[in-house]
Amino acid sequence: MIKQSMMAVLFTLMTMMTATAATLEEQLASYRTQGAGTFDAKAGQTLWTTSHGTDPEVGEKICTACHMDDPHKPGKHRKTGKIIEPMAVSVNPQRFTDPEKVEKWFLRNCRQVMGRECTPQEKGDVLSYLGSL
Amino acid sequence: MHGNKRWAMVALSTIMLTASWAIADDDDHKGEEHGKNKTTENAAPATMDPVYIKECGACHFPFPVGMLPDRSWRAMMADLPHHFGEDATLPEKVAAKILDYAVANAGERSKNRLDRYVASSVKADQVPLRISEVPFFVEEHKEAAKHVNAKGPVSHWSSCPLCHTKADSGSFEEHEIKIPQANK
Repeated sequence: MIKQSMMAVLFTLMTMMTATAATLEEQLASYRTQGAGTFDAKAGQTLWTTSHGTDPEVGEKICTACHMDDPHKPGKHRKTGKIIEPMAVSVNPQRFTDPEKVEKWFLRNCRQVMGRECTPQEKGDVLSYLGSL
Repeated sequence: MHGNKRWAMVALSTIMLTASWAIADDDDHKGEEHGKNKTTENAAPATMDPVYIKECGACHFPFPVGMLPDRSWRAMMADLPHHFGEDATLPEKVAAKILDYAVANAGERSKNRLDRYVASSVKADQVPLRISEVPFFVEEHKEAAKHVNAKGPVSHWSSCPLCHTKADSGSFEEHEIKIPQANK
């Protein structure tokens, strides 16, 4: 009974933690618990700048198609023209502080660009890259 | 409605919608309550669901949902992974909330008479996913069509506020239109 209550409290705390702002470091730690190893900003940069061919409807499948070449600068949605705030944490400290938002966009954009979901390792590498700039 | 009161409400909804669209970006602001105004027969809808603005407005102008019929919204929200060539997947609960809002205010059951007219312009066997495919829209934009092209300042029909200067407040009146000209 006591064990159950403790579990419930722990679960509630964990839920609260994931729902509140997290740091980049916490985000990386969560990828490690999902099986990722050491993160490599260089590998993240390679992932960020690798083209995966062209989609007839939306164009080249590469992160920089919308985020642009310099992560310190704003990007632009190529179809709607909507401005995307810079991805480099140094100029946009709000980046990667909301785990739900991070996962929402990784899910969409990895499938969009790479045709599959990213692994925890790949996500951590990319965040390490964007966090190192 | 008295003139002053009406103006105050228009001003208020302008500020609120402009503010929410501006902050929607892809930066998520959660759960802000927006003012609720009564919708008059022909006025633009004064409120938009904050979740709709936040999630849909993260990538594009949050179009007035009354511009499409019920069946269009159901079809659109059923296939977010293939949203006009983009993966726009949302968590199930969020998508359900947006669908609820969209169908509750879809063209045929909108409080706005114009929306109901727009919905009735769609043939029974059509399920348009783009507002720009709705017959009423096509008819109304016949003259504007020459200004919308990939090389011009208005490259897509989806950029409503570029010409409709009060679109952010949900108003698309003719006298508010200002078409941007290309630099020569």
